[in-house]
Amino acid sequence: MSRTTATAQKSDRASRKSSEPAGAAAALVDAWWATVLAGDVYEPHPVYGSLKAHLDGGRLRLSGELETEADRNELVRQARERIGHGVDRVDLAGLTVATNQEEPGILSQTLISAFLNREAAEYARAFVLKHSRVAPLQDEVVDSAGADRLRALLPEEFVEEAAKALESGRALLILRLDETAAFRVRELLEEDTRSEWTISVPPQLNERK
Amino acid sequence: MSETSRRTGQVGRARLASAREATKGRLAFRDLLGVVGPGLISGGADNDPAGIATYSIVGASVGFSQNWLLFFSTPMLIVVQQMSAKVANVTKSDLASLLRTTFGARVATPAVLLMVVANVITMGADLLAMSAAVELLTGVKFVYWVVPLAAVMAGVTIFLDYKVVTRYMLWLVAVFGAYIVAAILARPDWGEVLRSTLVPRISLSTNYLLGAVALLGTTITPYLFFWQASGEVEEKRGVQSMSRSSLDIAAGMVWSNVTAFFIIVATGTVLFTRHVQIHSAADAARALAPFAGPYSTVLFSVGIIGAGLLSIPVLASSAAFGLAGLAGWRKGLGRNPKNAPQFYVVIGISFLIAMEMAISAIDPIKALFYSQVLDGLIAPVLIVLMLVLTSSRKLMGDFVNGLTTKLLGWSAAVVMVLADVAVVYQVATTGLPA
Repeated sequence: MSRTTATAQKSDRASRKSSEPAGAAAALVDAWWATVLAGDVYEPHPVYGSLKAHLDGGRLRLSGELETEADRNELVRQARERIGHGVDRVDLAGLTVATNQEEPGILSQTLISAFLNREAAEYARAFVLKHSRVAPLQDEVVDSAGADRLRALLPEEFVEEAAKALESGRALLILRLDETAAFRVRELLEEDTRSEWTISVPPQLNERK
Repeated sequence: MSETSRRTGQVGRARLASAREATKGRLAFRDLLGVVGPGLISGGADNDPAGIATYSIVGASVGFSQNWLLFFSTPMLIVVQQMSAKVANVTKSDLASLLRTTFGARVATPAVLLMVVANVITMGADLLAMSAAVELLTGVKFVYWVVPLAAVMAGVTIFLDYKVVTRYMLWLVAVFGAYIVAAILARPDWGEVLRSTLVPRISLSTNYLLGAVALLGTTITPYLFFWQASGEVEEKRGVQSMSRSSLDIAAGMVWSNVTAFFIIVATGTVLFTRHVQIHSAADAARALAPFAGPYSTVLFSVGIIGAGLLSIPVLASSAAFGLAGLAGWRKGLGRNPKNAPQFYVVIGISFLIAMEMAISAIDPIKALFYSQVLDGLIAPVLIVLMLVLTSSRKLMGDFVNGLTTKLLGWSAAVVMVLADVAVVYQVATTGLPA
């Protein structure tokens, strides 16, 4: 199954501008705030990840780094909504926005992850796309039935290694995405999915796609 | 306007011929302060209290005669650290994970485990040196300082956010300026210092050779490779920021060797000329007072404490990054402890073992010797592995090593192998240190 999206980056940026969670995500966010107010401050935020929240008396101290100013504003809004409900004031001194020096849209990078079977790879794809909040330029799960697609998806040097994995019954999740998002996605693939290994193709100019 | 915007604005995006070209940005002066990060911290952490002891002993035993080695090793140190950063920025992976996925567990496991053991021994020696320096300043016996110091450093490393921790660390790097002042207070013959720095004087005496081995072994250390790569992953810099990363590293490594230079100048001026024998950094701080005044002791001690506060969390974190990368655990100083439990447990256990070593008053010279032997054994292996990784066009694409990097990288590996041979020769002829 292939979902190549030419306007992926535009939609990615657009979705980031609107940082307000909707539907199921809003319920998870409410649940996170409930655990913070109850004193369990170690759970990661369902949308913004590994933030630190410390409730000291009535003072809620938030710290950590957010990706965009919009994310920060949304988190501050969520925190201020809790004033009067267990929180007297909010300390935001430790809450920063990443000073990203990298320009999206110049380079792209392909990540290849091997999984025990197609189901595991499909599950990992859904998980990674949901949690990274990244719209890939291309994402595809390949198993032995689709081995002939490898040459179209990967540079020549990586085809043999990928073919070997397919021959041994593995399924591959191949993601091509903006280079600026590759750190986040590789981290998720390696640490939060059941991938057996993950390798990366070197960054390439986007014009080559 | 970001560095990349300026660059693409100048050359036009369509005219970029390769991915590498997208990384070649011109840095404006106002960007310089913004680039510092893992590279400068690596440079500071390179001069841990054990390193300060080594430089002090070198200064006391052979004077200024090895200052030239610091200049000789600086480009190699920069290149090795830049390779660590580059491989992380291109592959988006830390060093241990990359060794495991590229060379397999048989190669990665011993390399990482040796680094972890060496780190923990060094942490013990560093904690002891720090506590001894606090004893010098306060008069309260060192053993009472071990637990509070370890607890504060462990607490900061485990419970504070990566950005906060690195902000503290960047300030601590400035503490090394104390050694410049200490060297000035020692009133050296600057003409002689300059001569011995610019004109190498090579001797084949045992003292000289052992000093050279110790100096190089202390300068190019494996934990810094792991810290540098993991720092780039934590910062999520990517290839577009590689020129910033290189500048950060160059600044850190130059500062590291400048500090080492002034430590040797201070101890060479005061202790070498009077044939004073020392066995630790605290010994050096104590011995300076009668000749260079009480302020030199205070400055030297403050430097040792600052060095420990900076390097011990780096040693513990790089051990944790190594093991987590090897095992595929969640990792990162930006994560909550509950979100990456194994990673933080490794940090906690490292501190406990180091604390136990320091309380039981391990012989600092023995600890220094054994940690340097372990570091010395794995450093050339790791440098060669990094050279293989960063010279692979498949892995690095347009970011593959150039000729200068290859030459300096292989030189570093050869120098480290020679250092190993010298240590083996010393052990074979005179045995392990008593």
